Amino acid sequence: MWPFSHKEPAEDTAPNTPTPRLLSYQAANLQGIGARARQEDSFLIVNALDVTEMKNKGLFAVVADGMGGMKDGKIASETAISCLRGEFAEFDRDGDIAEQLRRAVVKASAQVLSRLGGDGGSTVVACIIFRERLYFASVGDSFILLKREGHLYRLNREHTYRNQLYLEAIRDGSMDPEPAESNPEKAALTQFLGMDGMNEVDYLRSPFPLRENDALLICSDGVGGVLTDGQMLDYLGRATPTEACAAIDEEIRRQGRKHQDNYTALCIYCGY
Amino acid sequence: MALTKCANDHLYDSDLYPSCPYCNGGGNAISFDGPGKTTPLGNMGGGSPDPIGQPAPDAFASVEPGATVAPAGYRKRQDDDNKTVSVSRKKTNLEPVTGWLVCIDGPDKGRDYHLYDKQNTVGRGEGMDIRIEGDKTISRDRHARIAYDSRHNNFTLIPADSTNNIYVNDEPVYIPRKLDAYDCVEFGESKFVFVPLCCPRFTWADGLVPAPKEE
Repeated sequence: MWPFSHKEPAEDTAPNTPTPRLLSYQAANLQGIGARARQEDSFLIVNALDVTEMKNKGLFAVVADGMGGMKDGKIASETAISCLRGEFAEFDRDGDIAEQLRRAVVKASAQVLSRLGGDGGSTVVACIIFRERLYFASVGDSFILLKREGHLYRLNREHTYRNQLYLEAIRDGSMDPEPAESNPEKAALTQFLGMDGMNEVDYLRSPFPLRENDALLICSDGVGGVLTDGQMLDYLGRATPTEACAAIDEEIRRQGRKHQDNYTALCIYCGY
Repeated sequence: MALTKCANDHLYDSDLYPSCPYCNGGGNAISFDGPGKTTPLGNMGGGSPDPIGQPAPDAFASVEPGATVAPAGYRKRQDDDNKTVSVSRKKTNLEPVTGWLVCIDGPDKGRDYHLYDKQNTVGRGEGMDIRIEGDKTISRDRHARIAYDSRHNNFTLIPADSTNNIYVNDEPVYIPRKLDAYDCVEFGESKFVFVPLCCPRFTWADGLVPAPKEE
């Protein structure tokens, strides 16, 4: 039984019963162009600064990494973001949020496909925090990471050829990671928004309860593929999400990789 | 520090920036209407969300004439610049199709599934070569396999880890069984017609063989 019921009369409440508290969230974002000529990542954070809307409609955070190997990455990632923003606004908050989010991602893919005819695409990680629970849906190789009690957890699975080869090695019993590691196309995506025949969305069917001091990092591979797990864990431990973003930016600039990809990071801290 | 939200839902410090530094960066970004307004892009139709794996029926119809449409076997390599690129394995390696299963009854009625050389796994889960998503009575992994043997140019159905019976032409199948053209294969609650491409009339090695003359 839920111990903090609002319906109980005040006089029945024991004096030391804690009052119900709801998690609140702080968010910050970061984006850099890296060593690229163009910025093809897109992102949004909806309701981050509006406490009432955050409570009633949820916090919505999305990162989309347009595929620079293809026709126009920015059009793909912006199309996806724009579609998801519209879909999120129309969600039935009393309905199945996880399923609505999955459908929104499928719809976003259809829109990117319609616009670019299959010759352009984008990854996406879309996450909703609503009623203290996390929902997400992901396609491609962007990241959603959770810091909890001093550990870093990656919550989504990459749709890369490497992962597909790993699975095949497990299925055929060879258990040999070498073919995947040595394949020159191991980093290529097997699923992305705008792909003709996209048929896998990695998403949470039932939401994940968040706790005080949890921190989320949603980022493109320009961040997740450049920083070590230890660094990300360290930066998510900074006092505020803005400071975490600043630390990420500083480290990426310090490394100054010759082929640094576009990088985008959203940090969300949970607390009271 | 004054955290501010721009019309495109980016956060920025308005003490540092007069306007959102993430919008229209580099002059290459496209601007969209602000939040809360669902704007159709281009000449795209609205419509309800589509089930996974089935692009909107109008998705291609709405591509402008003359627009670049990717060929069926498009392939994008990872360039040395580590850009995000794509590959779709079966299509892209142009692995030749050897035959098809066509769903004629069940949740996926009307869909076809490609068969390739050697072993084709059948199941509902990710990673299956023949992924039948709609029928929950089909096992996730390895409901069955369908093997094409190029040496003898024939197809064999091999029951695998399914707990439900598999039927071919209404007869239960417990051991590997050769498939003939237009055999009716039942997995779970779905029925499929097996249509071979590779047959006495055609193989990828020898190509098309002229039809035998009728006496």
